Amino acid sequence: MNDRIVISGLGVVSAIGLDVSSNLQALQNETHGIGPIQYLDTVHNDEFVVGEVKLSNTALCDQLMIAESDRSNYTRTALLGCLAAKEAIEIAGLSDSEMKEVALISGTTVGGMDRSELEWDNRGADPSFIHTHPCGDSTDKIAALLGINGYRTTLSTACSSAANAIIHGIRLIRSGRAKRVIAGGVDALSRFTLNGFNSLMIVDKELCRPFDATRRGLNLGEGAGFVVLEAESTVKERGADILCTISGYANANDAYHQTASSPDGQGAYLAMTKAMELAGLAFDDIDYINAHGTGTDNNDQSEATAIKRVFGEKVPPFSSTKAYTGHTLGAAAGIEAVYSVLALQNQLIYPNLRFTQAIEEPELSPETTLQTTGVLKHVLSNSFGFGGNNSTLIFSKL
Amino acid sequence: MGIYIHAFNAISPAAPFESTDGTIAIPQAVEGALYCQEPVYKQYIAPKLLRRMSRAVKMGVACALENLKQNQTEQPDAILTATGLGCVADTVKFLDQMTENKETLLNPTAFIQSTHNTVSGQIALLLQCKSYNLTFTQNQFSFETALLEGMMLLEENAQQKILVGGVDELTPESHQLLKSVRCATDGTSGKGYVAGEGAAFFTLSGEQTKEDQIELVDLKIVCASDQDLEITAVMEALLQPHQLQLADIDLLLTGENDERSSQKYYGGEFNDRFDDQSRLSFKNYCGEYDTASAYALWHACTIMSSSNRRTDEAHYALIINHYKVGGYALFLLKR
Repeated sequence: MNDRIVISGLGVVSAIGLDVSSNLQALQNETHGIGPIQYLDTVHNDEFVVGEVKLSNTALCDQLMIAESDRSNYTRTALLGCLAAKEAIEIAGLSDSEMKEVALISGTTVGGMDRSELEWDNRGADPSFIHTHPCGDSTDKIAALLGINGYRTTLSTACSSAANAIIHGIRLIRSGRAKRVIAGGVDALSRFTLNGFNSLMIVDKELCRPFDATRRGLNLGEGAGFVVLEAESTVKERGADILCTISGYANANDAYHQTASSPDGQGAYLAMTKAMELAGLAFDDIDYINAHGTGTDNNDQSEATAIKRVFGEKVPPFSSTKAYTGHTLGAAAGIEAVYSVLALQNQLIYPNLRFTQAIEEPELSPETTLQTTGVLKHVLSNSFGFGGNNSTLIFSKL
Repeated sequence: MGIYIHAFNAISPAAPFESTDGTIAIPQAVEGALYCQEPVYKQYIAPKLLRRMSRAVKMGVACALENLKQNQTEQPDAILTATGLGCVADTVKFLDQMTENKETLLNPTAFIQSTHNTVSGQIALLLQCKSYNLTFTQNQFSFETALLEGMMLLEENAQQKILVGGVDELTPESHQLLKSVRCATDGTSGKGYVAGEGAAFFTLSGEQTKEDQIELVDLKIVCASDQDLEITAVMEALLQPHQLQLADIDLLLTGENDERSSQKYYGGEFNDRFDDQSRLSFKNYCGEYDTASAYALWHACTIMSSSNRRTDEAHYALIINHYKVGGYALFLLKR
C-alpha cells in the first residue's frame, strides 16, 4: 500500500492535564505537573516528587461511568488507558460502524502492577489480581469499555513500548490487515517501578533537569497517550480531518547493556537514521526533536552523543517534555506522540524546563523558551528503553 | 509469497531439548503442574551470566541460540519474542523484597530482569545484534501477534531471517495463585487445568532453502465474542481462501484443557471428522500457559518433519487455540 499513514485522532492524560487541550495549555504556559505523592501508597511519599495524574481511581471510574460492581476489575493502568483512548476516538470522530474496523495496540511496562502490589502484601486474601496483572489485561479492558471487538495486542519493550505499538499499528494498516488502529501506551505509577528505579539510583528527589550538566536522575510519572492511525484515503473517504502523517519509524537495539545506554549511542543513532531514511528526509529537514531526555546521567549523555552524530553541526532545536510530565515509561512515547502532533498543529517548540548548564561533551543546549515562530514540518520523537530498545517516530505536516 | 520455517525448537515438559529423533511423550503432571525438561544451560550461556538469569530467561535465550545455530544464522534481521506473564520469578522476587524490606535497601537485579523484554534484550546482547527487537504480550494471543509481526516484516522483505519465539515460566507462586482462583487444578480434585510452561523458537524466512521445508500458510487471529463464533465455521473460514476443506487436514492440534469452561469452546461438528491418529490436544504435552501455541507450532513441525510421513504429497496441519475473553487463533501449516 502506497497510501500515507496519517493521524486522525489524539488522546492524552498526564500529570499536566486530563485531555489534549489541558495538556497543550500547560505546555504553552510552561506549567509542569510534578509534585509530592498524593495517590500512590508507598513509604516514600514524603521523599520523592512524581508526575501523578490528578485523579483518584474512584474519580477515574466516575468519569468513565464504570459500574460500581465492576470497579475492582479495573487497574489504574486500565483506567488511564481507557480515558486517553476514548478521547482519541472522539477527536477522530469515529462512528459506531467505523469502530467495528478498529484494532487496538497498546504499550505498557508493568500492566496491572498497581493492583497486584497492593494485594501482594496480603497474599491469599484476594488472588483475583492474577487476572488483572498481565499487561494484556489493560488492553482487553480498554477494548471492552470502548466497544472495540477487533484485533488487539500489547507491546512491552520497557520505555519504548508505545512507540513500538505505533510501529506495529502502522504495519497492520500497510499490510491491509487493519483499516484503522488506535495505538499508544499507558502506565500507572506503582511502588514496583518507583522502588525499582530508586534501587538503580537514577531517581532525582528534586525536580528533574533533562540535558542539564547538573542533572541527577528522572522523576517518575504516569499517564496514557493514544493516536488514531489510518491510511490517508480512509480518512478522506469518511471526510474527517487529517492532523499529520507519520513519515518515518524505526526500532534498533543498542546491544550494549541490559539497562544502560552505550556511550556512543549506537542504538539511538541507528533508530534515528533508519527512521529518517524511511521518511526520505535529510538531517536538515528535521525541525524539532522531542528527545527521550529522562534526566539520568546515562541517557542524556548517550542521546546527546547520538543526536550530535546524526546532525553534526546542525542539531535542530530539541527538548525533553519529561520535565513537565515525569517519565511515564510505557506511556511516554504515546504521550510524546500526542505532543509531537500538537507541536506540528500549533507550530510550537516546547521548552526544556529547568535547563541552565550544558553538558561539556557534546556541548548541546535544548530550547529553554517556548518557540512559536518556527515553520515546523517534521518532528522527530525518540523513545529508548531497557533491553537496549531504541525507537524513533517522525511526524510530518501534510 | 510463502513463509518458511527454517528451524524450530522448544524447551518443554514433553521432550528433552537435546533429543533429535522426534519422540514426544505425554508427561505426567506433578501436583497439577508440568515443568520443562531443561537442558544443561552452560553449553549455551556463560556461567557468570547464568547466575543472574531466571528460568524464563535461560529457557528463552538457550532456545533462541540453539535455533540460530541450527539454521546457521549469526544475526537475525529481527528478534520477536512473546510472553504472557513476563519474567514471573524476578517479579515475585522484587515484590517479596519490597514487602520484607519495607521498600528500603533493595537489590536492583530482580527489577532489571523482571522487564518483559529481558529475553529479547539478552538475545540481542549475546549476539551483539542491533536489529529490530520487539516483545509482544497479549495473554493467549502473545505469540500469535509476535508471529504476525514477523509475517508482515517478511512481506516487506522476503529475504530476511526473523527469529520469533514464545516463553512463559511457571513458578510455585504463580501456580498457587492460579489454583487459588480455581483456574488450575491442585492435582487431586480433577477440576481446573494442568498448568504448564515452556519456550519455543522459530526462524522464519520468505525464502525456501529446502524442498520439504514447512510453510506457514496462514495465521488467523479472530477477536470476537464467543457467542458470535462457532469453532467449525471459524476453521472453515480459514481454510476456504486456500481451497482447502477440513478433510484435507492431516493433523489437527486443539487447545482444550481440563477446565470445565474450556470444553464448550472446542465442541462442534469438526470433532466427528478427526480420529485419535489425526487429532491431538496439545496441552496434554505442555500444560496451560499463555504462549502454549508456540509449543503447539513446534509439536506440529516436529510431527510433520518426522521421517515416517510420506513426503511426496502435500501434508497439512491446523492448530487452533481459544482466547480467554473471546476468539481463536489458527495456524495453517503445509509440508
